[in-house]
Amino acid sequence: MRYLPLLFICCTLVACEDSVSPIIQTDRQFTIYGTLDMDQDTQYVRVIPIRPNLIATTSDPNAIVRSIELSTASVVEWRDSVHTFADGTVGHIFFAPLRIRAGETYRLEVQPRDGELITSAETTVPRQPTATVFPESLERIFTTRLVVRQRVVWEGLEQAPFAIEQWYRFLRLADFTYMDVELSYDPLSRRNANDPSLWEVEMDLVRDKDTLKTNIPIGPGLPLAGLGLRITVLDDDFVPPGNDFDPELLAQPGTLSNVDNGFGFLASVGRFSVEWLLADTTAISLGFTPLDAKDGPNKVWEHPPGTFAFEKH
Amino acid sequence: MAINRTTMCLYRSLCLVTLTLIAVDALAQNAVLRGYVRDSEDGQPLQGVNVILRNDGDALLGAASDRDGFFAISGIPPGRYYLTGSFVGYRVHRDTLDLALDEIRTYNFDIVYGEGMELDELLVEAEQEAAGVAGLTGGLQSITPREIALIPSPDLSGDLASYLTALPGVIATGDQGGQLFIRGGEPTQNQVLMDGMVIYQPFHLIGFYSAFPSSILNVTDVYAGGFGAEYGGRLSSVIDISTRNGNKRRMAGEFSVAPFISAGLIEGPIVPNHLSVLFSGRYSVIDQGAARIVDAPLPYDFNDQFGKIHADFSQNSQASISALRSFDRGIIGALDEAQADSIKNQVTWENQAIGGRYIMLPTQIPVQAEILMSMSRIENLFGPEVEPSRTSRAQEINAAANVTHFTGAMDISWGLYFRFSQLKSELGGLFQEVSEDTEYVSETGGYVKLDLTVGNNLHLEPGLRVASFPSKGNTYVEPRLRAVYNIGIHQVSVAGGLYHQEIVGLTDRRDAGDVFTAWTSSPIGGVPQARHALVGYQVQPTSWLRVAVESFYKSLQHLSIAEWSAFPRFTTRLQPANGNVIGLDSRLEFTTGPFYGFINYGYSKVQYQAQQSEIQYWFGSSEYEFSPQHDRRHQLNALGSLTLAGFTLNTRWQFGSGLPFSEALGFDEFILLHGPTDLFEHPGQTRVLYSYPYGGRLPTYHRLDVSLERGFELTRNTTLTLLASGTNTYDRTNLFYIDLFTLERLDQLPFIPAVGLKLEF
Repeated sequence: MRYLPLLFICCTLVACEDSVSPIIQTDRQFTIYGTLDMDQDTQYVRVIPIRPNLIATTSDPNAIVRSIELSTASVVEWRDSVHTFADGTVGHIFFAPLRIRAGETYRLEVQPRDGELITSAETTVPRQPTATVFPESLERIFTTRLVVRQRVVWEGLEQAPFAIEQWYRFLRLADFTYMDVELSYDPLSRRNANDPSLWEVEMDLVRDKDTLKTNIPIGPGLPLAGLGLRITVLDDDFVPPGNDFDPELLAQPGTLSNVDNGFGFLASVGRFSVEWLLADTTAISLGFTPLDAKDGPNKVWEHPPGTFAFEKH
Repeated sequence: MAINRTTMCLYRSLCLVTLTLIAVDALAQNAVLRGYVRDSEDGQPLQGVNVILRNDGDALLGAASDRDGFFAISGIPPGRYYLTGSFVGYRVHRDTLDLALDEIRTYNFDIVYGEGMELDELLVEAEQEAAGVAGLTGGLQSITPREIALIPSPDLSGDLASYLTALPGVIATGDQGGQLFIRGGEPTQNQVLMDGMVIYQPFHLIGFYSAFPSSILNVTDVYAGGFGAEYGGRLSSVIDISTRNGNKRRMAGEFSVAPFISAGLIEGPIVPNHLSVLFSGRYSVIDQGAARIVDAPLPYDFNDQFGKIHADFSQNSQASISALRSFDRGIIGALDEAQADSIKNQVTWENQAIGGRYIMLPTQIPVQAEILMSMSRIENLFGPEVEPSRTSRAQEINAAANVTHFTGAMDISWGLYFRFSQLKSELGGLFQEVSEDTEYVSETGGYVKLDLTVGNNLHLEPGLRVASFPSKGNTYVEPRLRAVYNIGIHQVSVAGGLYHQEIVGLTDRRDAGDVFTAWTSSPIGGVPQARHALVGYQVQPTSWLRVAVESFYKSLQHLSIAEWSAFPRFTTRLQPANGNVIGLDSRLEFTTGPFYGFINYGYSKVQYQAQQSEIQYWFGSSEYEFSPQHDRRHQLNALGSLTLAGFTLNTRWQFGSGLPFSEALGFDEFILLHGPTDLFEHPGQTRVLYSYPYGGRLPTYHRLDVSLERGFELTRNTTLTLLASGTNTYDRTNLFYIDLFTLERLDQLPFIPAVGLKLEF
């Protein structure tokens, strides 16, 4: 009982403290999001200053952004741009003219102009795989149904391709221009059952021809100039937990993140292509007109895919 | 769906027990005396009246009346007895009775309030033990309107909520929101019963008020844990309210006005001494009153209405019909007029309940039988009433029969019940795992409870409850035990049991301003389950001091809580969690002359353990343990009431240590990189960079409330009472919560001076 007044006084003294801040001091200053893409001449990353308020401001993030190719130590300074999104919000997107190379590791650094702590992330671009195009196989079932398949085997892929695109190139004899026609569906692809380092793509050329025939006038005026296959490969770190790009999951800070002293994710994307010509006999069997040497330039593929008029079917 | 073998076996056992009891009753050799004790003034039943039988020798038999005023003394050898009925503040009732062999006599009597009060030397049973704040017995606390009147309040109508928040172990996270946590349990884990009707969300948006004004209350039993086999369906606690019957002698009533609420009650006989009615209504007047006084938006609107008809058909049977409606509408956390006028975040709920109760005393067998029928409904809306973004409705029909046998050696209670619930939610993205279809849940079950005294000192209440859900194929067997050991001035009590809750209420506790509750059947994992264990000690070393200490433990399993997410206000997924609650209540109660006071200290620690795979990358482990929002570790309540020269001065000081809240490192935008991503097309979604869940603590809370009352007797039955009060007298800036999205701070109510007026007739 005699301690009751003491308890009362203690409680009262403790109770005098009533200031509270919900924001904890942190050294982390920036969130970075972006994918370095082998397909791009200019790379972009979003730099978001970590702020103590809900509402973002449009003010200068006060940051210096640079990238370093680690094998060559070549440094590129990035420039800031202010972008207004479709929803009216504004963000800072830094950009730099940079072609990334397969197998190279790039380090992106964001440093406050008036600070020393660097927020950084590293990404290694997927290595160049090798592709082997096997001769097409022709088979007739019950003498009427034609089955033509062609296998392409990629070697050196660490993970399954994120995307596989296939297209056919035709030469317009009317104006001697090439036309690339991309198919809207992916070919069958799978990891080789015996050798996991191999990734097999099997194209169904009859199905492709039927699809193309319904969309473009295949015939003598539009000879087939070649076939192409391009795979998009994400870097080894670009694998979400459970292989599921679930926003609720990935929004948790630290999930799919490789940023030191900050948040976010810097990834890289490799794009690898293989192109080839179809044997004339196979092209004819499928109903295509094979490309005669006199029809066009000898080196059909001296231009990268997508250079020409591009149609998707 | 077929009821499984275990259930069938238990039902058969129950039937066997029943038949056995009837046979035992038929073979009874000794007399039984039973009846109802009422206040002669208005015919109200009186709880805690000691009814004593003495014969010419030293033989002494007795019982205390329960909340219906009912008492039963069994095992009385035939002979002449001198009966006394005594109750504090009332004249002793005396009579001489001749009881024959095997006689079952119903003896109802009235006792008269006033001078000549005598205290009997014997306090007979447990009914009186739980009265007073230190009368804590096995988690049970009984509350009467007289005790509620001691709590300073900004009006004269008095309310059960004010008293509950003065009890240790009862946590209100703020004086706004209407959320009461009892010994670690969520508000939706508390079963609130009023005359046997389930009331889902009875606490009003302003923390002083519930749907239960003290003017309609008879006795309220609050089981903070360890409740007996007669209760079920909730995990944490039971608040069992019995209401007053209307005055059977004369028309009476009261009207009061104050800055928060205006209230009125009228009651009276339809058939004098046999049939009475009581109507009560209260309406908030905050806009015209309190909001102007504090000069801040208090966008709350609430009201409640209650009605009861009670009839005494004969001296052996009585019945009542009760009906309650309560309504709340408001915006928690409005900081300015613009927010107060916006109905985007408005929460609305409405309770409706109606029920009937029939009690009979069969003339040939020594039992009391009760039949209950009720229907309860809750509708909960979030957003504009016309087009709410979320709705949840629950409707429940209850039928129950309870029987108590008075066999002499022990009282045996058993009951059967049936419940049918309809649950419907439209949640607008909240609680994605909850079915938005209409659900129908049926439940049936029963219980057996023994009430026996071993030797002279040990009182045991073992019980067993069986709850079966035919529509879900689940059956639960729940053993319960309550025991009290009295020796001299000391009392030791223990209680415990196993509890399940099939129908749960879900509230997103990550946002303190969001009190929308979705009622649904248990959504994920197993059915929520709790185990309670508590040990209490009570002592009365002097006539003016009583001390009670009680420790408790609750293990909670299969809870559904909101997942920890960086987008708390936009979406909610549920995750399973378990919890543990340990604590200690200690109470000192003083009564000396014109002064009454108590000091309560409560310690409790609530820990939840949850598992969420998403957070392992952020916090390093998918399993995490945290103290939920209602984990108030230390709590102190001091109350003093002094009556002098016709004035009553009530003061109450509350102290609470800080509640947990979640801190953050800051905000950024989250951009979903799903392969090559065009950053110009994706603005990102605002994200909170949370620190560890509920890792911070809000500042301590304390407040002093004072009221001064004076009653003026205008005529014999007419009294005018004036009140002056101050809530939060020293204007402590108590933090309610910080909105992490806006960093705005919402404080609890400031100093509110108030005057009130009540006219009773």
